[in-house]
Amino acid sequence: MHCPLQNGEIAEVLLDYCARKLPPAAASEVDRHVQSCSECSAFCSAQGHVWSAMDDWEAPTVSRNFDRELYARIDGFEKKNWLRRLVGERFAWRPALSLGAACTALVLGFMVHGPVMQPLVAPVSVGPQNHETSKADVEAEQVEQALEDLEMLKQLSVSSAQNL
Amino acid sequence: MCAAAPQHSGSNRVDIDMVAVAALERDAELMLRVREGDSASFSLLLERHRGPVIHFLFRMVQNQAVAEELAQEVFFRVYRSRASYEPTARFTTWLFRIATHLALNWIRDERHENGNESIEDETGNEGIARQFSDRAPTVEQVMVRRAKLAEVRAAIEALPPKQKAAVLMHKYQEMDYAQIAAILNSSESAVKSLLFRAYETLRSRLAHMA
Repeated sequence: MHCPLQNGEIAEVLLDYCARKLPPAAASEVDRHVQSCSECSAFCSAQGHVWSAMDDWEAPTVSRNFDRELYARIDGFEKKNWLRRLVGERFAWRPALSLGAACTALVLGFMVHGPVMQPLVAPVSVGPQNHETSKADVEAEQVEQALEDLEMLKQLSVSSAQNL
Repeated sequence: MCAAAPQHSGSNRVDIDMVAVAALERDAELMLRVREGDSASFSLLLERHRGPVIHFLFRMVQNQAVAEELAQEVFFRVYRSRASYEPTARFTTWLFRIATHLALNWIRDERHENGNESIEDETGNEGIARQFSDRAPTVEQVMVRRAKLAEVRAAIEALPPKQKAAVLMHKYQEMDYAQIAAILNSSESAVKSLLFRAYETLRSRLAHMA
């Protein structure tokens, strides 16, 4: 067997050997090598010391409130999402919101730009319409009159100049 | 030392593997029940994994209060995403992936805010005190043990965060390379190399303790 430390690709084999994680056949092969290789033997010894030192590091016991605090947080989360539970877990919010927004936009658009509703009862009196028409006619006559006056003044000024 | 280490026999290994497979199936089964709304199954999962997750996080951040806070977040996230759970990977892989992610983020933020300070929390001393009352070691033995422990903790703390996570999962959670790789989202060969370098650093830092 090649020395694992000389061959970087199989160096991890030594770690597995020290961790007793190699299958029996491979372990006995490494075992034979380690007994004859001072470098690998020193590696295993040092690694054993590291793990032994790490074994002394005990984790603390879990505090009594851990579960209670976790469940309180979960309860808070559940209460916050009561509406979601009400309509079901699989209710798709995004399409529903999009659809709602689209409907609102349509209604608003219709209200602003849609056809004006005509009153159901027709107006009884047509007087104001006639009044408007006659007013427009009067204005046209006045304009025509003014133009004729101007024409007359022009003719008058031309004839008086000829007389002089 | 290691050469004399006993190896598992073939039948023992098969038995252990079968027990492990049964435990994995049980986790997935429980989580599927949680997905269906069974809160008792969540309690069972919490009971089974609360300790390992908190212990891993404690060794990652070296502070019990922070470890428990992060562990709460881990289990809360598990509960919150129960509806989307699919048993495609081991439950513990998923669980420790969340835990590692939270721990690495906390370490990154903590280093940004406070720099790298060692934390001597009361729980480390509690363990020693407990042993003091049981076996009654001398004051000198307690102090030596405490000093050694502080050195081990400092050596692990000084590792790059990813190497630290890999070492802790390998040593204390007894995970294989494939699972560590899945949790750290890297290849198996990268994890082997990561662990080899991490242990190399620890061997050199703790060599004087041999």
